[in-house]
Amino acid sequence: MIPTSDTELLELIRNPSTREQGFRVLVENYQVRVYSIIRKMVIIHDDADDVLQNTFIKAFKNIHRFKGDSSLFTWLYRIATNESLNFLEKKKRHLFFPLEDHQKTMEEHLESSPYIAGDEIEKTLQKIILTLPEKQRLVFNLKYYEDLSYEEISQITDTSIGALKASYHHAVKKIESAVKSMNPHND
Amino acid sequence: MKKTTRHHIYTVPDGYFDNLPDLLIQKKKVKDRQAFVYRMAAAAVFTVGLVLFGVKMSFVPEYAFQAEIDQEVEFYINSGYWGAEDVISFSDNPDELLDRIIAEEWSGYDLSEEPLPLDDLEY
Repeated sequence: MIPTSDTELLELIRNPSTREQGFRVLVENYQVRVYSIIRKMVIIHDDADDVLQNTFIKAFKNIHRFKGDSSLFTWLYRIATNESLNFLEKKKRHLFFPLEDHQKTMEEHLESSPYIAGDEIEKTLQKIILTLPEKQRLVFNLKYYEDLSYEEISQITDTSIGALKASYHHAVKKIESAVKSMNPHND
Repeated sequence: MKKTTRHHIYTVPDGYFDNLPDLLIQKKKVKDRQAFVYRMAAAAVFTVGLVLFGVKMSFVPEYAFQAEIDQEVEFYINSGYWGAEDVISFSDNPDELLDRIIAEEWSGYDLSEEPLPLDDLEY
């Protein structure tokens, strides 16, 4: 990752002679983290690849509208989470297959894909997280895996900190309950 | 929820992140070119449409308008609604028009002011 501040990066992009270099640095700086949050939402690598590309293309197109009232990272994450949720919503509205099939597809992917590397406990945890409602799953992933503050998550999801705390708390309770029900002797 | 379970289990194909910036820059160039072509095409269609509309307006209405007027005038004359005096009065120079009509219709006659010989008169 090239250590470039937001200000320096925006200067590169705004200057027509360095615009392409600026876009390249933007991708190189943020691609791994943005991919990470997208992948946790859509599970399947090919889908994550599509959503990630759409995210950066939208970022390129709208960078002139970035006002600087949040960090570039938060702005990118916002585009990425919206694209991920829209993608999952489109899958729900697929003409011939109901939601359960795509949910099942994602679960099966956790078991069989070569791009999943984890032990059984980790895979089970992911399957349990997959049962959460999408927005709650997003909040859980941003808080637990990305280790973001509630303030940052609030800027990304445009949700109040109080609502986020409640959502995260419920998600944790559901996951713990599900884990306990799978291991009734380990309390 | 132990911290050990925060291990990321999702992996990517080899070289995925190495190739992604180039791929995205290429995609952006293609989209920019497409947007430019669409804008030019839209401008061309708009311009051609304006020209055709302007040409049509300058030819067709005048011809159609004149034909309609002629038809209407014929109708009024044939139906007797307008008499000869009415038609002549519509002209800018009715006297000149009348003189022309007389000249055409009476060209075979001697229109001098000299009185006719009495012998030629028949009752």
